[in-house]
Amino acid sequence: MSLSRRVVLFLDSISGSRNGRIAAYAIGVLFFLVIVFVPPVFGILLGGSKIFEMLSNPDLLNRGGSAIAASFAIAVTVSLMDLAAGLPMAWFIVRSRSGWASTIDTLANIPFIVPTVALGYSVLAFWGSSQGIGYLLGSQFLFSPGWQMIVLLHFAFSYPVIVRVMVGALQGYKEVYETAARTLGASAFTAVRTVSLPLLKPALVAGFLLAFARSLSETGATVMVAGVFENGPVFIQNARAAGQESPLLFVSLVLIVTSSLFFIAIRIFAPKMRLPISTVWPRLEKRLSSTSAMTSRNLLVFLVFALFVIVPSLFVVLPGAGAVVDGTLQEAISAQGIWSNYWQSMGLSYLIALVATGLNVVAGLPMSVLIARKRGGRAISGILDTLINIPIVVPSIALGVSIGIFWGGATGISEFWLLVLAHASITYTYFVRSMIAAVESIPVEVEDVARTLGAKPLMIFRRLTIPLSKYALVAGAIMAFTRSIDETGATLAVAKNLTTAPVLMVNWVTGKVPASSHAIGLGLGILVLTSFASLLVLTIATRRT
Amino acid sequence: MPTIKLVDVTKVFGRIKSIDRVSLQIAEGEYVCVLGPTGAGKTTLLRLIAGLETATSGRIELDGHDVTNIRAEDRNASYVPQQYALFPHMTIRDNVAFGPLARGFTSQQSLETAGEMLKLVRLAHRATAFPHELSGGMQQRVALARGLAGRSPLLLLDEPLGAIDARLRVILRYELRKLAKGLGVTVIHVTHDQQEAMSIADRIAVLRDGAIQQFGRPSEIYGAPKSPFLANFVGGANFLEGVVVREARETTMIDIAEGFSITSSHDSHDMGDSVVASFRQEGTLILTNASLEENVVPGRLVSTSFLGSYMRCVVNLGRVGEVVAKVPVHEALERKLPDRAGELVYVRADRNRIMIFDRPEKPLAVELEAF
Amino acid sequence: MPNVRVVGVGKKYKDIDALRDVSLEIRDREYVSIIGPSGCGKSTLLQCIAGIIRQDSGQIFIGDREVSALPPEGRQLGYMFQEIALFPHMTSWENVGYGPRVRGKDRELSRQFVGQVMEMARLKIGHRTYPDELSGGARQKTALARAIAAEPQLLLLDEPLGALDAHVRAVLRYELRRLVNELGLTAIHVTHDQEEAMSISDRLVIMKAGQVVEVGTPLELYLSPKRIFTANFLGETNIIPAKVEDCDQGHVTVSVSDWKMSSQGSGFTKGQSVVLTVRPESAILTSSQQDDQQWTGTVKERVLLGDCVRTEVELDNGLRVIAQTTSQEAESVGNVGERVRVNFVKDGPIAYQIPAHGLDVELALE
Repeated sequence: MSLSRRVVLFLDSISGSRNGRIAAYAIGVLFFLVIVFVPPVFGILLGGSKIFEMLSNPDLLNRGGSAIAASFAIAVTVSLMDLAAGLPMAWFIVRSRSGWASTIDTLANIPFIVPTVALGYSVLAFWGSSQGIGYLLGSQFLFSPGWQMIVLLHFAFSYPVIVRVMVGALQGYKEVYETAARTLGASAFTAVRTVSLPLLKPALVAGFLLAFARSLSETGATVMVAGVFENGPVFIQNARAAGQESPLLFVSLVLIVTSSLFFIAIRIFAPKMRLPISTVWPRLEKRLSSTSAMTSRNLLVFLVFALFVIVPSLFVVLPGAGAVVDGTLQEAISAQGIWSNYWQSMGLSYLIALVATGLNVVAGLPMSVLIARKRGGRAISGILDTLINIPIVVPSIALGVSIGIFWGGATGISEFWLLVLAHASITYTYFVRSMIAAVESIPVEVEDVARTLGAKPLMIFRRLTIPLSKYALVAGAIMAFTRSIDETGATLAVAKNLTTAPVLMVNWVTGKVPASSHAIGLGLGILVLTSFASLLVLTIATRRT
Repeated sequence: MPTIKLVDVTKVFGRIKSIDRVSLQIAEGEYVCVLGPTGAGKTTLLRLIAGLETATSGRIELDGHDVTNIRAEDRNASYVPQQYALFPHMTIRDNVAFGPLARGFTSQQSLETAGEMLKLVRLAHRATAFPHELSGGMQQRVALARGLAGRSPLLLLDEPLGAIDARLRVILRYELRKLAKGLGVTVIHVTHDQQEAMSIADRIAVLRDGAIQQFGRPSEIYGAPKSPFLANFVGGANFLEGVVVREARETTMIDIAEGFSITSSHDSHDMGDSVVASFRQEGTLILTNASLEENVVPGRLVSTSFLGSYMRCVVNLGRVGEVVAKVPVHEALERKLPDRAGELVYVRADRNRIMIFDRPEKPLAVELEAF
Repeated sequence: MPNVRVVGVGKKYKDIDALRDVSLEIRDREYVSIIGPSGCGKSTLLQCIAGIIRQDSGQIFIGDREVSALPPEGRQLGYMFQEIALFPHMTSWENVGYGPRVRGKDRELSRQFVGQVMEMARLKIGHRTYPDELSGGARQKTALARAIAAEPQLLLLDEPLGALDAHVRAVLRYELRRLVNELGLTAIHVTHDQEEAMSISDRLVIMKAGQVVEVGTPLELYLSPKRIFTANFLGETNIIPAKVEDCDQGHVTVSVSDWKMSSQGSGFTKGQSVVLTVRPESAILTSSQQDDQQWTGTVKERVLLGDCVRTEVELDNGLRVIAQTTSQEAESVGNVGERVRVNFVKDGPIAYQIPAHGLDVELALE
């Protein structure tokens, strides 16, 4: 018997023992608690009394309060707008029999592909300059940096979140309920409103929460388009730049607490909410179901999609193209001037992403199985399931501040590892959520049968669980990886000396580091292309499922 | 020595008692069917024996060893769930080879065993196919082959024919029994279909609300059911409630309604007892003319249905109640039995085939789980 | 209540013919079952009639109206789904009341109507009960009540009893027929369970591989089927290869090895190879006498099925015959090892031409 086979058999038999299994799950849970959960959520408390110093300054308190309120108001508004615009789009993608459906599906992913910093600059350029909307419709449509531009930005980057969630939900939705409603005499519109939407409510809530979390959390791009307006993350960034510790800590704490509570509240109360379905307007709804009504609805949806999502997202291509022409490209390739830092930052970003993702995959696997199969019992799995969502709900800059304080006291942790830990914390959920869904979709009977045939837990994991969920594993890992490349907020909070690629881009755009618009365009363009490459791998991997 | 022995096994989920003090002994090589309505606990019982659930109390012995607290992977009891749960990412040969592989055989040995098993279920020519490429009946055979390849002496089947078309079911069930008997494995086969159980079981255990109602050979359960529920669930019957008015050797007369009483040759009850008289549908005879024989009552035909090898006639006997009679189709055609609703007929029950039960506590309709 | 006419309907999925040139007529108030093995296209046909899917070719008439362009909500049908499909987010009463509600009927009148329908279906359910709290049988009846409350002109049922236990199915099917009768509806019932179909239908439509095989009353199709597939699908049957000796006025004399028997059939020539079908209940066993030479053999297996006994006899010429007798008769003859003689009921056996595509393909059930 070969050595590797002996090792495998040995590990298999350990997994059979109760202690072996407990150890594996314990490692997963410990990693989650110590690395992913506690530092971002509770680290802020180590800031001590400094947090509350801000309370004695009424002006700062006012400013902070308005910023937090603005964050929530924008997040709720944008999420609802995205639901209204994204749901019909998802419907079209899944139900339409036209050949355009899969093209639109791919296009709808674009704001995902474009890193948010590139998106921020793109939105700024499109809505704020005469080459963008001004060129198309006239200069009265120009926006200046402020809350409107933040709304336009957040609308664009949360849109694909809703579409992805709703497409997935619709694909898994059993159309037979809607068909039953129609055989009972309901028009298409009535059937969808009174039967399908209520049954899709969990997905609608999940989509809303994800869009909400993204809007609340995003920092890098928001800073670019905020101008003098402040929402939570912008306020924190300004306070940090001005060296004011107390407002930084206070607002971070408030954001952490309020976003977590909001999330838990929706999780508890949303299932109890009933959509209004008892009244029916047969004649009106029949007209709304007509082909002409549906066509006009689709046209409107595409218009919104094109004008507010696609074009603004891709607008960065223009300056990028300019860069190719005027020789900026040569500079970039030869790493002259600002470009040497650029490549250094890119390298750093990729390294951090790789390490953070690697850690998450290894430590996240036992956690995924624990939650998906409810191994610790229903109560524990339920609590863990809610907790793992918290790191993505909390605004990343606040999260970064908290992590910095938590580990900051421990000497010997280099800034690099601090960044890795911050990124691991933020991207953990993306991987674990994907794995949980995959493991849950494997029927339990498959494992039952394998057990009665004599297979030990590790053998089941190796030969059944992993092969059957490998696409979700790859997808989750790539989502985590891409999110890490994109991450700005926490990086801004934690890093004093090191600069990742997106942070460097923010500096270029806000003028902290002088760079021509063509250079910015090119720099962002390269970032977009590399992101595109990883997401292409993702699309191929998941399409084979 | 019995291969399987359950002693007072109970399983509680939260506040629900799913299995209630079940005791069973099954001999080596026996083909036992566990029969009962949905919710009776049949799957739970199977999973307890497999080790996929742990008993709340009681003892489970396999081959003389106490396995109550031993995990599934160490019990050597092969489980085939209702939906087969074939591994979708493996060919059917790899599926079947999984068992031997898990028990420590080399890859080559496992594949050889798999090949033999596939030949046995006549699927060797599809060895490299994936489960989703095969029909329902074929998938079922693969699931069986996989369960048998590990050479475990015990096979636990959960509704193995549930997903199969009615007509095909009748053919496959005999094949199932032949396969098991040929290999000498002990089988516990769970089903809700009493025809299926009657046709292939050595013994049948009827389960209801987690408790065993009767455990015996098909002929015993059909010929001597212990309760009205059993008489109804296995084979179906007509039921008339009444009071015993005369009792002598080999004669019990039961008063059903004014002017009508029924006489049975069984004498298990005493004068004044409240009882339920029951006779099978095939023991209910239809006569076209009045007769002075005992146990004859007039009635109106409600409906006739054609069931293939027999006709089913529903007759309304007025105050006495409604009964169903089964008449073999050739006989019905020969005798030119009436088939229009409302026609006058006479119904006769053979005194030797009338069973008598105690009147149950719950109303009869509830007890029979009638709709 | 209308009749339904299906004319030349075809439907293709990728390269596979789900339906091929299907034509049918269902009369007003008829209860017709469409039966066949899985994959024969029966559900697809029903969905075309309902408008849930659109056929590729052919026409569908409900009453006198060609309905192909009409969506399901315009066809005034009731449909029962295999998955039951009760709306999980509504109570059972709300489910049943959905039809009247979406057509804008007056609230109070609807409530009364729903109450009447529930009573007709003999359903006693609380107003706050949700579908997942009901038993399988009650769920089925609720789905039926829901379809009926929509006041359909045509009732379409797709394996309506499929999710139920065998013994519940055997009782509910008669309830189903009773309700349909009371309401005077035309009904089309799809199922794979031939016993279910035969017991409650006026006529049966047998389908295989996307085509209609045969249409007739249950009695006709069971006792005198025109195709061997029908004979084999509707119930167990013995298949006996034979050679024609004589053919005259609907009766055929054949020989199996050297033994003779007579059967139904016409249009055969002497010496032609044919296939006979004999139902097990048409094979009568008697004790074998000393001078019996033909149709004798030994009992190999005997299974008690409850109301009848299934006996497998191996005849001296190697042929295996299955006989079914009532338990009463079987008490006297047919124990394992006994020597018996097999007699055939007059008009029991039927002779068929050997199918061009082969007997195995003809008999295939999947």
